[in-house]
Amino acid sequence: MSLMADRLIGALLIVFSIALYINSRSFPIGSETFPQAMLATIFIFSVFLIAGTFKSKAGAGQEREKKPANRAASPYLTYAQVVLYVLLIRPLGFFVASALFIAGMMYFLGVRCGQIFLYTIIGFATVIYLLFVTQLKVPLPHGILF
Amino acid sequence: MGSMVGTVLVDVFTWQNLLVILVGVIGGILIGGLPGLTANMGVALLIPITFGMEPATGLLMLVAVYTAAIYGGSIAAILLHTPGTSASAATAIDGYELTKQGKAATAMRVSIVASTFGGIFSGVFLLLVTPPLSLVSLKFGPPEYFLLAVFGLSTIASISSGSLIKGLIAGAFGLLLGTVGMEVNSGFPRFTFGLLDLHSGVSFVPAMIGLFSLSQVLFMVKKTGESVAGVNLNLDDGRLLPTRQEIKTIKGASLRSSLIGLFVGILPGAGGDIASWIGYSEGKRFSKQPEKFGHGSIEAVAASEAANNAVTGGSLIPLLTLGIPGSATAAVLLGGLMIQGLVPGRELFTRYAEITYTVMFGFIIANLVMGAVALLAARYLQKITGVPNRILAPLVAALCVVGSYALGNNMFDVWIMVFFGMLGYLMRIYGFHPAPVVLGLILGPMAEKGFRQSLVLSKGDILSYTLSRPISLVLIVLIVAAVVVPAIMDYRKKHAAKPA
Repeated sequence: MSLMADRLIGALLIVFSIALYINSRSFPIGSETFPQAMLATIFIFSVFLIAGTFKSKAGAGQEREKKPANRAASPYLTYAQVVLYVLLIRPLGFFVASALFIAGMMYFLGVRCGQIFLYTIIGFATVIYLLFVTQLKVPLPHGILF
Repeated sequence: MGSMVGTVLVDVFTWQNLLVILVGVIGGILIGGLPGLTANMGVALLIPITFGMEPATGLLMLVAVYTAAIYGGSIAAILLHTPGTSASAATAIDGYELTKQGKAATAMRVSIVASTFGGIFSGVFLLLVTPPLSLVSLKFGPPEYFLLAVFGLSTIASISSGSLIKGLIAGAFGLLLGTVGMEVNSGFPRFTFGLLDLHSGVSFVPAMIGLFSLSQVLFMVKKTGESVAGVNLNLDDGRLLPTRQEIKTIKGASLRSSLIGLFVGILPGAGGDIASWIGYSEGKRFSKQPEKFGHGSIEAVAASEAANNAVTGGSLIPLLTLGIPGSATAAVLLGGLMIQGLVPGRELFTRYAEITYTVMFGFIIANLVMGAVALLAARYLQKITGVPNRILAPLVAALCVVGSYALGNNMFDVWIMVFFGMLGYLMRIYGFHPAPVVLGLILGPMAEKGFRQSLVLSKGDILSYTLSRPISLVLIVLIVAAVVVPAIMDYRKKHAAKPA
């Protein structure tokens, strides 16, 4: 599995480096040298990566992807929630979107106690407001609600 | 010189700086103590907050978090056999044995004292050695700067990743990312694909937050189904400080490990985890009671803890003098330095001397504060190990969003963070470490400038030109060694593992 993954990654990197190399040919003279040198480096090492899979017995240094004990705790599902959260910041405003995200993700991860939801969200909003809005003067996006 | 000492003392002891040191130390202990959080992710998340502060104040907070997080890692290692950071893996062996024997309070005290000693030892060395060493950077021309970036990348690539080739690909990818955006000389937008927001390049702080912090959230959620591993031990044995006998036992190991940690820290790329393992094994070798190692030896706890905290100061030495980080967290710190407009090298010790000396002296104070806070709070520190990931993960994810937005008040940076979050997760799953990408991204512009200027200066014959410069020659030898030595060690290890 991991050897196959290394081969696939190597192949993808080769395609990636060739595609960007073609793109870099439109750069003005001088601007293209360094990126092309880096693309060539990626290309060469990707070839080595694929070649290495025919010799070794397992992929090196990989953090094993364990199946989560809780199916809702999938990293990809969490990532989708983060993407949705960022999409909602403009229309709903930062604080409302954050409250919804934190509550939603905690629920997905198995939190069921109402008090924990309340304290976590109020605590987060207070710290962010005091630190970022009042101290650092960051204009966090406002939405239709707050 | 005298006036500088006075100014620095006044600067460090302002209430703002003492407060950020205290907050940084407490935050660092929490980050290190929580098994899901790492020093890298903590420092990356804090950079946007420190950006709004005075440079010295902001940097003091970052170094305080760094050193305290490395100590904090020992709490869960001792109490739960789960190292809070990878740097405390060696501590877990004897620390947890001591806990099982009902001596958790002793293990905690020893780890605090050894960590503080290691940190202060490296801090003093940092203060004494860094200024004269920075003179070396004055002898550097364009080819040396390019080779320096390659050297930094090749070492961090070879050590941080399980595979040298993957590390080098990650480094080259980072340098390539550094070329995205408007090219300085021609004004041509490179690899922007029509996105106007990319014209100023890939912002490295949001990229760092994504690679280190959001990717960590994705790893944390996988562990939310497991039961919460909180502990409830009696850590109050009526003592605040270690006994004289305990100090006598750990004295030699702490000093030896501090030296080891300092040296490992100076080596680019080698971090606290490597130092603590070397410290542990050397501690065993020189110990009068080596048989106790692995069965609850306080000497073993001190050996690994002094080593990993000595790495913190050591890793700042090449960072401040040459811009080459001595550990993955130091690579993140380099981002914190650059965003304040401070470029490593001689200027840090001339034009910005006040800031630099304040940070270096403040680093020593941060270690003292860390020791005091940890000793006073030792009996309560077990509480933090019980905070479940199901609450932490959503909070850290939301902090990633607000942190990446706050830097430039722009949503594009948040998307950059989101993109690099998944990239960092996939990279780690498939054996690529994110540290070389971050370092490549930060060093990219310097490397390209050095590379192009060398091409012009060499008038086409870059090889003879580079080889004619002594420092370049030394750097080339170091680069070859950084790539070849780990490859040989790997080859030997594989062959030694094969049955005869």
